[in-house]
Amino acid sequence: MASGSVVVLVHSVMPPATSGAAFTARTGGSSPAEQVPCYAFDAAADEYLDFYCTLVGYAGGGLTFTLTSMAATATTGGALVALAIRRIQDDAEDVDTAQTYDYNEVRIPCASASGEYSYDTITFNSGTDMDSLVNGEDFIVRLRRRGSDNTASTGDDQAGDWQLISLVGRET
Amino acid sequence: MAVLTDQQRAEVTATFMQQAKGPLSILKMDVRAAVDALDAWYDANAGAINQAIPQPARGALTLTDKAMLNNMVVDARYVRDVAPAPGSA
Repeated sequence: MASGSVVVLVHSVMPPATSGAAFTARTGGSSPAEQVPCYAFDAAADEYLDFYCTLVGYAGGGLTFTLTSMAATATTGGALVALAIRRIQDDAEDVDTAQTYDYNEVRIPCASASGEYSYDTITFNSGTDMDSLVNGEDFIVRLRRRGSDNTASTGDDQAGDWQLISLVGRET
Repeated sequence: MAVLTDQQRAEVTATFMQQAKGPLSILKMDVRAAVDALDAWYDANAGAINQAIPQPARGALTLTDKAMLNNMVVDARYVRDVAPAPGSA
């Protein structure tokens, strides 16, 4: 696959056992109204969402994830959002054991209106940054909003939920 | 009654951000500042609010029932019939 090609096949989405983001729908403004499916991440605590994926057609150039999101009610501030990869290597990785997720984090400023989409990216370099994941393997992408942070201007200062619409993974 | 604890104020802040009608053009710390200020105001003016309740209700109602009464009046005046902004809970 070439740079920019979609190489992450998401086959399941599941909140973790605790501190998971809630699946919800945002009512649109048309008649009949859209019901925009999204996952809502709280503003006052860290919340997570796991994506169960397979790497398909990956040529070793690293990964770029595009996150599409909205603010539930905020029109100012930003959210600290991070991704981490857990490689599920054949006959080697036991999901019954603990993983220390190593996050790549960005601050996503909210759009000027709370119903507007925001498109942002998080990148992973090939190799240990993506848990040494190789083509054809399954892996878990864990998404986190660090709602426990309240740092003004550079941290997570966005009031209200951060709503994830979609996650797409491409070769960088 | 003393002002709310830091943890209680944090919980009020979190609950408000979940339930606010929106849109919110302020930051998380601004919401918290408003919670702190309202809590302090209630602490300073509890006596005046109590005096606004005529007898015999003032003497017969418990503190909890007076607080519920206050909430119900505020809700009916300012909250109940307001539609939430799109995206809010």
